[in-house]
Amino acid sequence: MDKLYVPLLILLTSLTGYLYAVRALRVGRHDLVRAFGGALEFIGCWMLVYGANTLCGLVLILLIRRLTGFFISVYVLGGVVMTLFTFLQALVAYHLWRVSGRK
Amino acid sequence: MDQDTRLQKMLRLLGLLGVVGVLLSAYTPLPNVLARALAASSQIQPADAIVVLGGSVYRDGTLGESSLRRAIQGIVLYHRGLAPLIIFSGTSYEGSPVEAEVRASLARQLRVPEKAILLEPRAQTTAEEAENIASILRQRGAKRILLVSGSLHLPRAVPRFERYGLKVLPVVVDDVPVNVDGPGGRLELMEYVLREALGRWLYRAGG
Repeated sequence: MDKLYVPLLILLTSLTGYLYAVRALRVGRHDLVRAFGGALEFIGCWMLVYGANTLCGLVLILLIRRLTGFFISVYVLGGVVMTLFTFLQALVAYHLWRVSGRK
Repeated sequence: MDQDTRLQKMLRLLGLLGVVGVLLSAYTPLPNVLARALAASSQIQPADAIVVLGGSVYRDGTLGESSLRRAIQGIVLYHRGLAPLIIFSGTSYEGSPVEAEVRASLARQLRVPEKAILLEPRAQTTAEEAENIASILRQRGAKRILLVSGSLHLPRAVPRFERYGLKVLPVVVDDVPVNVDGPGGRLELMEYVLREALGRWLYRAGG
């Protein structure tokens, strides 16, 4: 039961939020599909940005080690800081792309 | 199809793969299967020395979780009489105390005699640890070692030590066991698997 508690909680609050949105904001099924599509696009954007940051970070670390002798651990690329900053970067990049598409 | 629509489809597909990947990692035994395929297993036998590889230490001298677990396992092996020497590895990280010294201090408090303790306080990578520790062991005539580290790190570390003519017996100490259960633990294990897979690729690419 412990393992399913969080997914069930998210399902419950999502359903409550959706029902509220249907009544109060007149949101329809098509809007929900579009919202899911947008969410997938953002996650895809985040993954793309994460991959690019990891690749660039790796190459830079190897170059810095070789050229200067200064040591930076490869493990810094796997931390929470990297995940958080990449999330923010992807958020801006995604909205920039969406805004540019509306022009 | 214009460029914008193509990018949109590509991002949706990537996002879907990401979500499916996270769900498979959290709610199926996929990370356990991958970890088991990549992990080393322990071969605990008498040896000339116990080598405890570095982990991390905080600025206030608190050992990181993997560092502490490995140090304790090394001390237990010493007290079981499996080797007469114990080598602690671990350098200083951004102003922290030297990890090897912190571990040595712990070993002394746990009744490991001073003459049995050796330190490698400079190495910053597994490759450097292997090179420096092999040099220390050569001076002592030690050829057979118990190498203490994580189950997914050991397959990368063992060949590095074997390059210097050492007979290496792996000793597994994990923060996240390969048979971990539950979504959080499995996601952590998947991250560990991906990190070590990247590490192995880098070591292979770098020779």
